Amino acid sequence: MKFIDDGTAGAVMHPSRFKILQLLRQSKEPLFVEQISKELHIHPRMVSHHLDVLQELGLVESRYEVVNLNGSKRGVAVRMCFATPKVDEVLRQIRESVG
Amino acid sequence: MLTCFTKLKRAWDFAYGTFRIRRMLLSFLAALSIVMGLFLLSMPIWLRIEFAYLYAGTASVVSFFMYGAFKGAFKSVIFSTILRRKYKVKEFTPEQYATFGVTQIINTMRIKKKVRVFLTENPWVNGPFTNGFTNSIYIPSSWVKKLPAVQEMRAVLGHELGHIKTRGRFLTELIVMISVVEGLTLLLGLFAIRLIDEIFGFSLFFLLLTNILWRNERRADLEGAKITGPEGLISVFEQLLAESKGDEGNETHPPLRDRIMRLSKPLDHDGMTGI
Repeated sequence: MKFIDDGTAGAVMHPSRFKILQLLRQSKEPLFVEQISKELHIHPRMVSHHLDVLQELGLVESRYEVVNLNGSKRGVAVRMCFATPKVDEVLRQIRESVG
Repeated sequence: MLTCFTKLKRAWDFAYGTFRIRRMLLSFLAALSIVMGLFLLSMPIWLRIEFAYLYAGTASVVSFFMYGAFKGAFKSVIFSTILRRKYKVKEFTPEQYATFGVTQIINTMRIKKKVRVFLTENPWVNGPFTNGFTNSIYIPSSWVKKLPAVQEMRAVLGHELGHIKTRGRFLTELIVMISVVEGLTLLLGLFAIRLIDEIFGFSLFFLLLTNILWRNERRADLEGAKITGPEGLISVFEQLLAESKGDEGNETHPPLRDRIMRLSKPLDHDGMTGI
């Protein structure tokens, strides 16, 4: 139970982070902060914070892309995030520990 | 007989575990002291003493409640700071000081005192705290695993350093409060007998102490958020909220929802982004 011992599982069990991870896992394409914020009704700054924490733990990866939002001509740089395969492993260990 | 005992124990646990009931009881006791003080004046002296003892009995039950409410806080402070040898206390390593940016936060907050951070294994310590004498911050060892993200530990440290920074204001409020309580107690002393006078002072002191401690916590939240940003603390409080059964606050800390709500307001201001 490596991820339970090192605290990764505890970080995942945070209510907001768990929701964000579930959303990223279900999504077929990377999502950006505003999308996650609107979907889960969490403040964008809090989403960013949770993504930072998840990225620090290696559960999420992100890259910056320029996308055309709301008809902007030049585009806006947004942080596109996606879940890593480590998430499945952590969730599996949590399920096993709960029984 | 056993069922009756079990029911009584359940009722006691319910009342004891409910902050609102403890507070109601204390408010009732303070109000009753005034009424009793004035009421006893109209009685003959021998009856005054009988009533006073009856009243003191009731008050001692409430004192027991109050002792229980502060017991955890007292033990954590005493065992961690004074009896350091009883439970293992380990100071942060230079790497940990650097990782969590303790010095950076101290400099940004303009704290001139030398602050040390310790990890403690004291089972009475269920959360980080700072004591008012040695500028030391104590963090339970289990919290290092509980908060694996650097940002969140920084937020917690920011909150504790906020306590150290605003200690002067807290002490001023405490002195003013004690003066007010003493003044009112002396005033009641003109009309009531000593015993009732003391109980009034005691109840009022604990009632107002909770208000001052809550203000102190909110102030430390804000001071910490100014430096490390409100996100980390909100996140920690959300996690604590998810782990706790109820959220009505206690004698020393306001409800978590209230703290989250207050910290959420600065989220919309670009100024409070932290370092």
